[in-house]
Amino acid sequence: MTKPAELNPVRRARILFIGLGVLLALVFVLSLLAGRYPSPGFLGIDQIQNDQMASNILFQMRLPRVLLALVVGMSLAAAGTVMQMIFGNPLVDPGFLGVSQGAAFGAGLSIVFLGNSPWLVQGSAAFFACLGLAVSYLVAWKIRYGSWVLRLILAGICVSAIFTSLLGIIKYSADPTSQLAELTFWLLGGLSAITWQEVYVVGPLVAVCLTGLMLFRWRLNVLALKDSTAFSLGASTSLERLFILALAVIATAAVTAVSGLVAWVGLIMPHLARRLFGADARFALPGSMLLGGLTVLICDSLSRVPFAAEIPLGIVTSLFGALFFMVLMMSGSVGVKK
Amino acid sequence: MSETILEFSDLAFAYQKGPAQVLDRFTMQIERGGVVAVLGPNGTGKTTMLMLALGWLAPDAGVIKLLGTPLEQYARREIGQKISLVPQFEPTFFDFSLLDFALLGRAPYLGNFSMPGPEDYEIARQALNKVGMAEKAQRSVMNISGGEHQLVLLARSLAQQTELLLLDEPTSHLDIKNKSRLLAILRELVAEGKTIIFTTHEPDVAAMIATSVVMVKGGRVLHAGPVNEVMTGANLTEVYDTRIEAGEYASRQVFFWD
Repeated sequence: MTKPAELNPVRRARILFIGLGVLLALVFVLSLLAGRYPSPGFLGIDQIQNDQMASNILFQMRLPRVLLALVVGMSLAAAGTVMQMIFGNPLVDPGFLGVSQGAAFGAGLSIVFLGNSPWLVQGSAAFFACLGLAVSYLVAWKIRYGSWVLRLILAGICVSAIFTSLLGIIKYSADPTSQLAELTFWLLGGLSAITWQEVYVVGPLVAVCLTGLMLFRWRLNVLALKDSTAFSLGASTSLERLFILALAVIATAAVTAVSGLVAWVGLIMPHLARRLFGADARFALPGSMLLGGLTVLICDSLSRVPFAAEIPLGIVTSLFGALFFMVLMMSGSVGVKK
Repeated sequence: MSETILEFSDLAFAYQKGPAQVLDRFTMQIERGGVVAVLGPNGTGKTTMLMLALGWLAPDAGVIKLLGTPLEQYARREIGQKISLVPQFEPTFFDFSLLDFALLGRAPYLGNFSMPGPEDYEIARQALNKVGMAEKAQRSVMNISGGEHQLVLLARSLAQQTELLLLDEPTSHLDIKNKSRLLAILRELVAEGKTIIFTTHEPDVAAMIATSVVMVKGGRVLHAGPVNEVMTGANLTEVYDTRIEAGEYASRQVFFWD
């Protein structure tokens, strides 16, 4: 008996993209309509047309929030895919290279010492996220042994540890009745304070970065190879990797500054995308972005709709992310006999 | 008259500053259109020499010329279109299909923002076909044997369509059948006008396929020349510090050692 013909990988990817796109559109609309006004459930067309409050909530509160949830998910998933490929390490996430810890330190510094206006907190978080990358990069440049990737990983670990320590000092000196709670809430991640202002600032920046990454996506396959091999294939390895990393980190810093630390999305979505689309970044990168957007949309809806008090987004993504990751790892197609 | 494709003149190279030189006054000339076997003990600079030829490492002194032009005058992509590398082993962390992996050989011909087209796919398929892996084109590169992996690395190099191929111990993971297949492929490539430089620890393989041999020891070329002149027991004994004798069986050179 002959085996049934396997689906052409490109055709299979197309079908998956269409399916995911439709699902994402559906979840987007449902997220927009779901909420607790006037009672827990979905807003109807009549309510949106006749109830000014419902219309305001939909267009002034939920729409920017849902859009930004989409942007956060897509950015973190894209940055995770890029970093895992460039570092040749499937356990890397976008917060690598001191970016997340830099952002956390920046937010903490602002909340406790500089003032807790949203713009100041976001600006400080974005600045220190980028500083985290810059310092990691410079330290890696100065390390005199190991491959470029190893040097970046070592530098990233050191810089993250320094920012973590400094954040510890800030927490220690924060007013426990007000500042510490606010800082903890920021660190847990959330989109409750999102307005159109954040969308206008973050949206275009992230759009540029993600477009750049999408254009570079086949090249990522080359840069995922060993240094000398990528070089033999005509790649200017250090320069190209730096360019791609910069795009990924700027997108991460921009969304982290407004959303706080949203864990697990950048780690898991690339794995899931590779399972569905294969390792080729031409398909894995956009696939990961769609999955990331979908996941954060669902998690954000779960964080705000079921309970009267909102659960921080980072808690929801961590809970479901870790559970999902366990299932993903246990459902591998290659079995191991004990 | 044959043309020199690659030339090393008085090359010096060390990984760290100090007296320990990996290559020292290393001089070698490779003519176009042959198979050159590079033999020498472990740690004598064979792989380093390949990395220098590729431009991945820069010599501390001396000149490397590719087709008569100093290597540093070429753009990266130009070198990628002229020289390809088949490493001894290459760790892969992501499960690319064999076809997607071979397709990476097209990188020097594609811009940073370009995607491979139907012609690139066809070249990659032909490359896989040449190494006998076409039927496994959709198999993951992480689920193949060490020997098959080495053949897929060769396929990627073939997809690169370069006139000079550098192979680092290409037969080290291959069984006898695949070794025979590899040697047949190399003969075909030479017939197509390509030049091959490979490092090896197997004098028998060198004697079977090489047209000329370079013996390296202590970072210098000890003996170099046509295979029938250089591949002698005495020369191999000198290179490896181990008594090696050359014999003949069925019109083929064979080697014995203690």
